[in-house]
Amino acid sequence: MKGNKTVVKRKTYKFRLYIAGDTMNSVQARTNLHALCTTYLEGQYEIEVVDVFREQKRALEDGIFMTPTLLKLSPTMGKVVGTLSNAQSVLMALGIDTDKP
Amino acid sequence: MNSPPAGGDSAGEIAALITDLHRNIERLEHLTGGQVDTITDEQGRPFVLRHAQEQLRINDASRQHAILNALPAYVAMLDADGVIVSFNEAWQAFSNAGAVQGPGHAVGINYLQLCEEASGDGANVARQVAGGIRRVLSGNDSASSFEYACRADGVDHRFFMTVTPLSKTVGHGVVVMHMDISQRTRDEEELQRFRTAMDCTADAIFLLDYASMRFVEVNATACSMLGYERAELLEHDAFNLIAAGATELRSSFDSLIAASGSSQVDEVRLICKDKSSVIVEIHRQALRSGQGWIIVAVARDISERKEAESRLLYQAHHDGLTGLPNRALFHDTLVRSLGQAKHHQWTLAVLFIDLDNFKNVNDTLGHAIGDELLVQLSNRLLQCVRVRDTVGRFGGDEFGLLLVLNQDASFAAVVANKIRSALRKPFQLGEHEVSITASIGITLYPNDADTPDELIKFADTAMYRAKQAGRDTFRFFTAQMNVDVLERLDLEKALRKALENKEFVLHYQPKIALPSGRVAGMEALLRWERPGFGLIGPNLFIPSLEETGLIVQVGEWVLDTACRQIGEWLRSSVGPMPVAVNVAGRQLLEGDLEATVIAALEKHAIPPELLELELTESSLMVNTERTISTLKNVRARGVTISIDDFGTGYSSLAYLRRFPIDKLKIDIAFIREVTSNADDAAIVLAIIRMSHSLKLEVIAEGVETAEQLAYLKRIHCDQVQGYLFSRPLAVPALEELLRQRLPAAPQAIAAPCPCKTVLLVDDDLQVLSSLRQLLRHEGYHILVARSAAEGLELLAQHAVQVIVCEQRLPDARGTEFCDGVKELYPDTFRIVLAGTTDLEAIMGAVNRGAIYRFYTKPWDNTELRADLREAFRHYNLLHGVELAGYPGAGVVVEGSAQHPIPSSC
Repeated sequence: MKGNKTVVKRKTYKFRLYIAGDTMNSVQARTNLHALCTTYLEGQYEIEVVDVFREQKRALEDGIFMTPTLLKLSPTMGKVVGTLSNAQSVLMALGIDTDKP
Repeated sequence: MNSPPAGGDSAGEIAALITDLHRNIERLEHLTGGQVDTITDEQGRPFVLRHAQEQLRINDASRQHAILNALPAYVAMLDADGVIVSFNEAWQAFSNAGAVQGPGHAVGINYLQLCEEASGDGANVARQVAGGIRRVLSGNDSASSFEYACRADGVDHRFFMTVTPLSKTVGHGVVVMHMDISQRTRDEEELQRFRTAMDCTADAIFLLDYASMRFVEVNATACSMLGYERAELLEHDAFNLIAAGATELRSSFDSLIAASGSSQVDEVRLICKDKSSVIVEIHRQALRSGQGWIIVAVARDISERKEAESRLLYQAHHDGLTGLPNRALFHDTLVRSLGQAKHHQWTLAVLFIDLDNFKNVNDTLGHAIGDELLVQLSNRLLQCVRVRDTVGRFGGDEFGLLLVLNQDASFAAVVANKIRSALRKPFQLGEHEVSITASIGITLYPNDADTPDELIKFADTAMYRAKQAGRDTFRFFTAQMNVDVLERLDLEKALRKALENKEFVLHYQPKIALPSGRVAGMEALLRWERPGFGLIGPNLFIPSLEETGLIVQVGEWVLDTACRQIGEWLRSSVGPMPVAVNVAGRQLLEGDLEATVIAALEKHAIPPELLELELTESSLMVNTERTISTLKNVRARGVTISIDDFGTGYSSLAYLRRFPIDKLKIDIAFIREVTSNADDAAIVLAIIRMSHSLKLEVIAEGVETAEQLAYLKRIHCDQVQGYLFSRPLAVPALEELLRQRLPAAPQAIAAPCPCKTVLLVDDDLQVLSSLRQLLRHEGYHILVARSAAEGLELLAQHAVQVIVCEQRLPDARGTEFCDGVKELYPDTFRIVLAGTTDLEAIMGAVNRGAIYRFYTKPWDNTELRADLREAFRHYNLLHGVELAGYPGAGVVVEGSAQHPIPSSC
């Protein structure tokens, strides 16, 4: 990516975050994901939030058995469970290379 | 978990499973670092972990608390017994304020009981509250609410209390809520005071929402001023109440808003519920209200003031004695009328009226009597004019009249005479009877002047001339007008008397049937033997008869007289004699023509077949339906209907077919030049042919020459009428004529013996003589014409078979002449003599069939002679006749131009 910014089309990261209403961890995961995206992926991400209390079937379809769980759908698949409070380890777990430290 | 309670054996197993479950969950929470809220079973159902469950419960409770605490009301939840189980923060503060409950109403206190057992100041209210709670708890009421007042901390409070059930099931407890509505109540009271104040003012106050144009507030005066109930008025928008346009109103509001804060004063007319109107002086101001604007309008009824103003204005412009416009207003009216008259091309007349010897009345009977005379006189003047005319008093005994005339200036004289005769009746003034006359001067716009001052001044001058002429009369400012108008008025006056004085007579003009030449009937024509003037021609008085409408009565007389004459002739040696009577348009419109005809026929016992009605085309065009039915009825009795002056009224024969007609009379205009003007000849021919195909008879009027007669006969015109036979005659002279027989008719009508006839048309005398010489021994009857017009005249008179015509004639080209002749006399053989340069025109004519042969000069005599013989032979074959040789062969009949042919030829 480095130095190729002008040539390579910018990637769009698509996330789907499974949460359980406004339970503590879920609220934290939501907040952390937003902070992480605005910090490292400014302008190149989409987040969909799915509440398992409302859409039980979808969790089943995606094979989600715990909330909160973050699914990375694009450009490659990835999955992280938890409150996403450690940004660096989340980025690493999802295989996202960033410009910023 | 839903399995039925287990027995002793399984209890141990269950306890073990629960222990496992707890351990597993602890393990899971440990593994995930406590970061997981739910796990999902195989059906996708999420199970909330204990940790998260607690969190949720706390969230839920704190939300509900927050909502309850945010309410600006004192809320408590009671159980089925009335014991407080929960309350919001405000409730605690309320303990100090509310008189309904003392301090310490915490959870566990029985609020219901407390209220029921209350005593002292707020006891009544407390019991009311208790009653409401009990009714809802018992299910008698679905909810209960009321307002109450109480005093706390030295301040008057007002509360609104509601009791609602905790759940739909009875006996689950209630929610009690007290709301402090003290502020709202104070606001309302304030508004009420404001309203009362508003209602007490004598001015109407309107508050209008600019966006919706609806009233948001009106006071009692506004309602009573306009006759509406307040509620009705609040439903109205402003447009319905103001007699101004919507856009006008909007823009005036826009300018108010632009000048925000300052007020505007205006005079407007408001429309009341009963559609009457009231004039108000209105002060308006725009006030900002939230996002929008409110227009405040304060209106004061100034109708009375306006009335007073207009009364003053009236007094300034009207004569106090008679109530007529004074000189100033008369002048203003004249200025205005002149403007309109210029625009519409009207004629105006100004009449200056001055009483004769009025001073005598004042001097002998006193001013009071004189004033009374003027008042009575002004009333009589008003009766002499129409609404649109103006009567004014200039002062003293001088009056002015302004008349709007359509065209006819003589109407001014009619009004002047009307005034003179209106004054003739003596005035009854107390015990006195006074007669008075007036002198009147008349000026006309635009004839005499076009400014108001000049018109009045000249009318004054003309009035002095009337005085000089001996008073009690009128004079126009322009001398010639006096002569013209007087003559005309005299004529009309004389005409009105002519009927009763038996001055009208009927003259009769014979109509001749063709080809027999017998008298086919008469046309009755109205003449006036005016005493001192002799016999007056119809043109001089019939238009006046028609204008004045006298024609209706005179027309009846004509019908009656003509029928009497028919009867007299019928019973004399003359025998049955059809008579045509002219009927004017106004007789059809205003008279009862049908009744008149029937009455005349019956009165004189004559067969209807002998009566013919002649109507002009134009008279048929008015009130068509009624005319058709009248004519149908009359015709059904056997009366003949004919159209007079046909061809001048722009109507088509097809249109005329709607009317029940038997006969057409071709207008004299077409007959006059029928033998010399090919167009007229063609029109007459066409009229006759079309009429015959429509089974209509045709009569030609104004026949004066033998040529006209010959032509009309040739084209099968049915009847003719004109000076050639007889002018219109009085009965005795006519009867003399009938006894003798008509002079002109027999010879003219006698059929010319058919013989070979050649018409030579050329203005070159050399050519004519050489042609004559060439044909000398052929036995032809030779006619000679010097021009195309002469040629047509001769053709009308004689049966011509062959025409030899020069191409270059003085009034036309030979080919054109032949074109015309071909239309009128298609049987003739037409030969043209032409120069080599005329070939193009010749070829065209040949192709059109207009000419039979042509010769270029110089022609071969033998060939021409042979061709003429051939032409006659053809003619004989075509028509199956044998034309005789002309007995006086070699004798030449010439056209009207008197150029002798040189004898040497």
